[in-house]
Amino acid sequence: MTDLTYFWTFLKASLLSTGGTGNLPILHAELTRAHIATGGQFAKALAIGQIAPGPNGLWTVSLGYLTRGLTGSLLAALGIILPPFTILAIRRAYGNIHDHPVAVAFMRGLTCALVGVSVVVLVDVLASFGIRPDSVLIAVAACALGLVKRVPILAIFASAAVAGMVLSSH
Amino acid sequence: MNPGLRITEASATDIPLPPSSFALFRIWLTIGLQSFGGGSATLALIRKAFVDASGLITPIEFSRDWGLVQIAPGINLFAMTILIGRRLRGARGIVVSLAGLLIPSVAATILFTALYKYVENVPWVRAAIRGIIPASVGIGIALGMQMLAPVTEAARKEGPAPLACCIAILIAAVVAEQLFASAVIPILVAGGFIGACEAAIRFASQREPQ
Repeated sequence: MTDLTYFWTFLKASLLSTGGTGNLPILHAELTRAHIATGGQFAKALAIGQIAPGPNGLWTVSLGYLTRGLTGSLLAALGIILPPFTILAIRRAYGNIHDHPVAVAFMRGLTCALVGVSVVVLVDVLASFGIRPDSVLIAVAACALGLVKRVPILAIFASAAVAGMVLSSH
Repeated sequence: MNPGLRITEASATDIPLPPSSFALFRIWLTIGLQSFGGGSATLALIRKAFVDASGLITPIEFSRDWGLVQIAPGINLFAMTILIGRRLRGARGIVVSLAGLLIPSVAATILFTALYKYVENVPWVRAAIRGIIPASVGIGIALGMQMLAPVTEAARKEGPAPLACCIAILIAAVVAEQLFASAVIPILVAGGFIGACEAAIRFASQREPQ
């Protein structure tokens, strides 16, 4: 895969998704198929992206670094920075499309499909590290705490890290 | 002192003057350096800096922009940054806002990753990762559920058919992804198309009796 194709993969994934992890399914499908990234690298990048400062969508910068070094991280960063500029055109057309029931329903259907696909991909990512009762328990607990919203993300990860160390010592 | 706050205090009118490009860069740089804890934490910092502390943006403008960025491709917070930067300083505002938010956070992400690669084989790091990776999967699923909640709630308010359509698309996407893992884009577009068709049919049938 050339640098241009690599950049295009990140750009395309962001153009066709919304949110910080919305590009995960497309990137996972294309980069694993091209043997550029492994499920384990996705898992590590997601974890680092959550811990590092800034929007959690920066996990792709981490994935870029893990798969192609500094060049990869900069190409990935450029690939996720450009698509949000379409907001300027969307804002201009805001009055025409935002409240149109069919446009709203299209976005709703796309979001439902995106969540369904993302769940499958995330389970695949977990499977790449081996699904064990303790890892499932940690994932469920983190999900529950993430839904509560009152527990800081860093506290969840710190607890998970401690749990991992305790489990490894036994 | 928050640069935005200083601007408010310096202004003689109720509407604060837009900050200089440098002041705007400093506000975003502060946000970029402080935004540990993911998107929600970053959004809270943005609101605090531009709405609560400085009054540079009204709560209504902020909510409207945040609603609008939900339909923009890519990372919502970047689109929000672009809108705020443009509102306050035009094209130059976009550049300094994105630079202020991204320079520290992208640099820190690269640094964290490089550091991780350096220490990933240290036993206690490997042990910690054994807990962190399932947690990142759990948080990812929680984010998906949070993304889904307002969508299904809006569908529920429209009636049982749109809600049933949402649930059907969700289940179909799970099945389709397992069957055709490499066909993500067609699956997403099909989901949107099914949702749009359901709405078009529903609205057409509602018009017929009239």
